[in-house]
Amino acid sequence: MTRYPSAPLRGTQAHRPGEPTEGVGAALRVQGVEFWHRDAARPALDGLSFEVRPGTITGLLGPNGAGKTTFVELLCGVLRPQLGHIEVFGLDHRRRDARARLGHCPQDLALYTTLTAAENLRFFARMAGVSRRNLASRVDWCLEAVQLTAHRDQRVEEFSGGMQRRLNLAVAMVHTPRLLVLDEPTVGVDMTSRIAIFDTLRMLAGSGTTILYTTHYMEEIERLCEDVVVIQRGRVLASSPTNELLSAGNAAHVFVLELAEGSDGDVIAALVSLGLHAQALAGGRVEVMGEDLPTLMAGLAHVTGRFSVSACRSKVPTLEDRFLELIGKGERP
Amino acid sequence: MRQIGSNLWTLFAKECRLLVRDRQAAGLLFAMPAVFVFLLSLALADMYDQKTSASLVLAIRNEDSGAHSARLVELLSARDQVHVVPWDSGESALELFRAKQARAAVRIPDGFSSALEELFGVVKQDARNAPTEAEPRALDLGDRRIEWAVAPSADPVYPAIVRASLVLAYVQLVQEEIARGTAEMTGELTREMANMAQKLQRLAASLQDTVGQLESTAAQLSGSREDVRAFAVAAAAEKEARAEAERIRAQMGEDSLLDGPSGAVEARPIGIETPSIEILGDDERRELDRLLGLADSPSELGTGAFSQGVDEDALLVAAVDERGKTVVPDPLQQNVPGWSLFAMFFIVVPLSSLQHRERSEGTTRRLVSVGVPRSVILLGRFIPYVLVGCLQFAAMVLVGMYLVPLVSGVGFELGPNPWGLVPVTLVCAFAATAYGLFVATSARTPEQAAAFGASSVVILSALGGIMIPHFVMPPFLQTAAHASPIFWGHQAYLDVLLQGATIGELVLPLGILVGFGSVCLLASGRRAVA
Repeated sequence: MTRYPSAPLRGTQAHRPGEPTEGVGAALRVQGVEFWHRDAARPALDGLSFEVRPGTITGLLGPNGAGKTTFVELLCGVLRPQLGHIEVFGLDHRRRDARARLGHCPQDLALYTTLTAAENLRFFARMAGVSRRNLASRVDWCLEAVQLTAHRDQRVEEFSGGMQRRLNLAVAMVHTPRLLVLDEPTVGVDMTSRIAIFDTLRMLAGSGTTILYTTHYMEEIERLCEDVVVIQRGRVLASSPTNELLSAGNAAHVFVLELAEGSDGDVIAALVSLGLHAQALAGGRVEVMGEDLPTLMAGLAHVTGRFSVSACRSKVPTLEDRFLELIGKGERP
Repeated sequence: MRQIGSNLWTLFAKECRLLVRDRQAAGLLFAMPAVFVFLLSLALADMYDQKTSASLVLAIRNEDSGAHSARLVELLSARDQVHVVPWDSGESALELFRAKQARAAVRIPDGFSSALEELFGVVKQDARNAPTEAEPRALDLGDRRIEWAVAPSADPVYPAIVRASLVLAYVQLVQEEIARGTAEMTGELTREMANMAQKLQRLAASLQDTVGQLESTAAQLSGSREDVRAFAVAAAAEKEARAEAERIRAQMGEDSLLDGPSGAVEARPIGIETPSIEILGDDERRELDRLLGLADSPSELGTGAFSQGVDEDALLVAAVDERGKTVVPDPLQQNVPGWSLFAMFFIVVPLSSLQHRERSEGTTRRLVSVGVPRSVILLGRFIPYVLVGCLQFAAMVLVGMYLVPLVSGVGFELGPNPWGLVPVTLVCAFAATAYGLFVATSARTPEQAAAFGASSVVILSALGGIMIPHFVMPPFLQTAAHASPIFWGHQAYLDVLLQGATIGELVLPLGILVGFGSVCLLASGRRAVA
């Protein structure tokens, strides 16, 4: 059973539940942001625009090369946008007071491995402007939030991968940012650590922290995020609450065929030739989806007549199904 | 501003923690130069001792069987600054030197004693006739004069020591003979001789001062640091002796007996060219030789005299500068600042490794994301490493002062102006750290930074006179060394250690280092922000 720290977020700029958000509608507003990497043939970000509501967990989703990391680096000030602008709680994101409202948990373990967990937290807290008076309580709170209190004086190099990930998250929130940007925070961690991270994020969101969550794991978005922004080639494909995205898509009808014998490749080829989306699943199964139920049924009848199909089951569409539909047939994140 | 100060302090504390816990970096930054200082100071000590040892081994071949030559050998053997060994074999002086059996050689020819006896007879006769005899006789030993030579590769001060030893032994011999002669005389002759003896006593006393100074020189030479300073003292002593002799001569008049033994001893080579020290001008030396009873030095130093690749002119220039101050270091004076500088500049390796690791792992981005300016991040790294550079020098000084003497018996000394080392160390550490940051921020990969950084530091050190002392480099390399910042740092250290240079006298080397460091730091800042 996860135990959350009860201490208030003292002496910080955190958003507290019920606190007005300075009359600003969006925690994050991205408007027409364009960015070209040096010698690149196309822009990494091509007029990217979206908003993040305060106090929500918003998933930022996109295939490799979509521009997610570039956007996070722009947001965190590592890169500068060549066009457009970004606002954090109504402030230009390059301003120091805007940065102070921002917490960044990078995909890499941005920690000093020869320092202890507490030393890392103290260092980053001081650099982010946490006062000496609040330093100890903030460090204690963060360690407790990520369940590392017992390891506070242990060097990071002695931590497991999951513990390092949790500390990475703790460092991002040590100065109590109002907007927490997480870039693949669960890469390479086991289920226990993943659940611990989710618990921490839900607790933060419950206390009013806005979270922008970048990941490849669709189920994480489904489990955590109220809103989702899907981007590809530096442009927004969809931006809406997660449940709306799931229901609004064309991939409302999904079936799974279990083949008794024969090649799933032949089955997929036959379905695709009929204008349907199909992909192989493990165990001799094929998933097929389509927006038009009669067409889909006709396709199913066609393959069951030609191939040896032992079962056909309907399936509730997932975010992954919707995502695949959005980014195009056959393209994977 | 307050936040920047707080950030700098926090970064400083973090860097110190990281450094303390990184044993490999500590080994690289402190143990490696300490080992170099220790080993190379001991290894080079032999080379320096060969150049500066006061125990000059003087081989004497006495071909004469008379009493005077025997007494001369006896008097030479009594001198502290020479160690006389017999030279009875048939080998030449050059062969003797090559076999390292002696560094100098003296040959007393057969008939020396009888020739001298004849000379004394004439002198006594002249003395009896004085003062009616107006013109002094031209007296010469002819082909029975003493010959001497010094090994070409020997310390430049050796010829002066040999020559002075011969002169003083000879003067004492003459003095003893005259003292014997005075006992035989009566009446006016006795008084005359007594008067002359008194004058000779004064001359001897004057020359004894010279002996004292030369012996002091020799004593100083026993400490390897003082070699070239002693050389300068010897030269000064020679000048003083000349002035004193001239004064005596003026008092005694032109009819002095001092003109008598002119040409009795001749310093001339034994089959080889003999290096000599041209501190005095030719005319001055000739006059001094005449007054002291020596013929002109027959051999002038040729450019090829130092046959071991050391340029003699360069050595003399390097040994004593235009102000007469010593500029040649001993092994510890060479190595302690030298390898400290090497270590300071070698921080490019751990620095670039750390810089790239933080860049790739994202800690730098994390700091940028919370609004810490990149310039502050860079400065937060820069300041601790400047202090590390200072600590490196302090550690090498301690090694030189306390560790090396345990083995060699000779320790590093801070020189006449120890506080002068503080600004030099700060400026050197500044330049070295700035260079390290420049390489770290310029390289695309940590491997590139480490490879380029390490090799560039080795090259700059070699060029800068760390591995091979600058004063023994050929002239074109001595000029090329000016391109290395390590050269300027080393020269600044040597100026303080050897000459007690003040900050005002170090404007050129320190100014160049500050300029170099500032350019590197600005370039690093631009690259870090870009």
